[in-house]
Amino acid sequence: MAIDPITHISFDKYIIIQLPNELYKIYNTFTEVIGLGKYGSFYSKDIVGYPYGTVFDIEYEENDTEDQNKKQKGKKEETPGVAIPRKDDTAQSLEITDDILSNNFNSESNRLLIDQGSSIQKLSNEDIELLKEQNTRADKLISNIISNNGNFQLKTKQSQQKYLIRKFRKFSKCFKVERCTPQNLLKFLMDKNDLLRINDISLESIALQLNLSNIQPNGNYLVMDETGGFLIYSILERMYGGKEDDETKNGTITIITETEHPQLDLLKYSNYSDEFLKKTIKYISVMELLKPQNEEFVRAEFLRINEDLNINELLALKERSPLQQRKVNWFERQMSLIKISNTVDYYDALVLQTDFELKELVDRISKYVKPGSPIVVFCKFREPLLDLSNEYLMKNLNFLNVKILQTSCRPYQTKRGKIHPLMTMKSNGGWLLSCIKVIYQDINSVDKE
Amino acid sequence: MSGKGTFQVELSTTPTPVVEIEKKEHPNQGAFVHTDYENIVKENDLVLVYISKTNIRPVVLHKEGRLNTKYGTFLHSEIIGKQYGSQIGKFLNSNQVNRGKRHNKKNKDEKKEGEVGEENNDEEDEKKFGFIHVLKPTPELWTLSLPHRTQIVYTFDSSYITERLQITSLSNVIEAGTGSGSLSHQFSRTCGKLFTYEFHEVRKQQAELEFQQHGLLYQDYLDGKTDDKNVANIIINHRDVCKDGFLIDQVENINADCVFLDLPAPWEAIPNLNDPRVMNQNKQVRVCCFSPCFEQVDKTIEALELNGWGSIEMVEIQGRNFEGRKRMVKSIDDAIKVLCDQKERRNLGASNYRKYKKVRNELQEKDGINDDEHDLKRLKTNSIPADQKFNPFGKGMRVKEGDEKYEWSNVCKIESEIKSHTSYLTFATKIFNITRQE
Repeated sequence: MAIDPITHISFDKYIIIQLPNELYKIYNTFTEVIGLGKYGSFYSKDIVGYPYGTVFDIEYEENDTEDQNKKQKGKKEETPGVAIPRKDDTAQSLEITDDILSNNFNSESNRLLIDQGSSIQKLSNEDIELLKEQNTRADKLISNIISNNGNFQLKTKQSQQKYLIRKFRKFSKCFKVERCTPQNLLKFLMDKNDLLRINDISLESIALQLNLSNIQPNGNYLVMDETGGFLIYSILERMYGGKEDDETKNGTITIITETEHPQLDLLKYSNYSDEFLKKTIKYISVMELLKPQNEEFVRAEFLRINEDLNINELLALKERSPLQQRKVNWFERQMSLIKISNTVDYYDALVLQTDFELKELVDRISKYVKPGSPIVVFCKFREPLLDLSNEYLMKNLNFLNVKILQTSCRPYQTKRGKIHPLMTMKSNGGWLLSCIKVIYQDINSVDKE
Repeated sequence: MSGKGTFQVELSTTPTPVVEIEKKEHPNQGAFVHTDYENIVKENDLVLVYISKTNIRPVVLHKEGRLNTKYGTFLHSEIIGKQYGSQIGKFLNSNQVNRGKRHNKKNKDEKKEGEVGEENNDEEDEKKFGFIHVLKPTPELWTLSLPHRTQIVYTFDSSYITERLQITSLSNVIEAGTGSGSLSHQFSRTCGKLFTYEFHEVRKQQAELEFQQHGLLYQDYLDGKTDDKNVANIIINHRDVCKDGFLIDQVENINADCVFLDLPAPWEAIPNLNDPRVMNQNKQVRVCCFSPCFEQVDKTIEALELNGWGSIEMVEIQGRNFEGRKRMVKSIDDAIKVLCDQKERRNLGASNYRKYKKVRNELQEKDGINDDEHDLKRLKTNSIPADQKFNPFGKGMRVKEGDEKYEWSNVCKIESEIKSHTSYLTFATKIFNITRQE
């Protein structure tokens, strides 16, 4: 059975790894050995073929004697462990089980607990380091720490659990592999504190933007993306879901770029092939769209650049040299750009995330959208949207149902008996404006009867 | 006044759905497909007529059909042949206008929506211009216009559910509790196949008819009535999934990737997902339970844990609608001037005051003092000429929001009634059977 790259880990793909401390990191299975820092390292070929969402434990051979340890000390960093999937666990959670606790006595309250600082732990730091170097399994290590902690028995069960979770996050050698979906990518960026890069957008805001834009597999969408490709990847996922060769789907995305070459570096994590992206995504710069050339001008420019070479002759050739082909490609691209800039009332939605002045922008590019189609604008702040709404959209009868929306998601700690909202959450997920482009009917054309 | 350049305000209240589709009607397929290049309204199309923000009506267009709105009667033939998104306007006859006026007198505070007055000098002959818009249905607009059979899932929640369950065009989705079908439309747009279950037989029939009219029923694709299986992808069943499970006759293996449970007792349905023919076995699958009460959440988490689901997280979505409004800029200095003006008038008496004002204006013109010019402009435009009162804020007059004679600032107003709690969403994931692919 071949590996299905959408549901299973396969070679040469970006993957997201969730670590025991709940941080998300991006790796590529192209690298032979994936190093997770203090959580260990493993061969990427060991995880290929398993479904996304699987939790793996890294297992090392245990070295009992100090001698062996010393010999290997120099090499140790480079010896990856074996990644073993947790096959019996359907939940695939990174959390610790209660096994260790069952052997231990716990106190009913913490009234006997006195803070004695680090002196209560009989194991010294060196001892723990030694145990780690001997590649002791995390659960053994933790129970060792517990049995040497004089206070552990005096803690309540809840606080023992908390203590264990802390130790577990520190010492356990396991990880969970997730697909590089937009949702997981967002978590990765959140952990990296890099939300500025994607305009501070939250999952609920991008979700709402996609729904309001009515993204369908066969649609053609006009997009401005200030998020480095995150928005485009999200749209692509809704349209194609990772499958590139589906003949029933042929939607495209046209991106208006600020610079000559688009800056969509997050799109590389999407795992779509370059050919597919080339076929599905069209780039057009602001200049090419709003200050288009005409065909004659392009032909003249072609003649000037290529020393009186006739494009028609070149096009008529059946076999072209690579250089000729490049010239033909250039010409065809210019022609397609002219076509895009001349095709009004075409796109099925206008999806905007941009720093430009919105009034001006919407005024210039809303003509490319099919009447009756949605225009959805995301902005980090409310005021630019308010300005767009009040100073342009609501004074112009070509726009209907202007709404400003905000959505936020409140996560809860979800443990039975301890359910409560999390103490901190992301506060700014951005604002959205949605409206529908319509055709205004000139009042004078209406029959007064 | 043509309405161009003025600021339009639509007030939002609770929607009042009206349905004008007859049961036996079969409109053209593909009402929800937005991707055809042709954008023309045809006969027998299902369209949404946008009358106001709170009044969006689904209508099937016929040659002889008529549509009654508060702006008068529109013939369907007026709509057919237009582009989607077109405004269809009408001058109301004077009878309707007067009726409207009487109505307005009764509810003075109530603002008229979407209506732009055509001002004529002759009061009797005044013609009002009212209009509607014809739109192609989208799941979001449908959510606003659909007939409520049950509590529905609104766009704020449904968009988050779609994203969080990672529904793409490849996903097979199970939805238990079709209800009014609001969420079904949103799922159907994005997902591969949608298996939806409703235990109330009448509601199931209503929903099935609706899906059929909207061209979303998979059976119609099998019967060859429509050829786009990306659109016609709903399989609906009359079933109590808590008792009878999810397996159906139509397909052997559902192979679902995502499950959405909007049931009073989702914990009774969760064990039924364990049948190997229901969920995709060798893949990470996701579930979302939608319950309004905390106690339900607790029981759901218990059942999820018992059945081997992991990464359980409960969240709550809070969505807010705002609208752009205008707030008049009232300068404190203007208020002082109004009071000074009143005081002067009282001291001098009305007739003397007028003379005094005239003399002062002439004097100012002579001396070329212009510092009162701004106020004088307001004086001319706002106040009644016979009684030259200084009235910078339009007191005692009906001032339309955004009137260009006054100064305004942009403000944002939250809807008057917000949904502070819809439901708790409990998410979880599971891999039934981990096998390695080579």
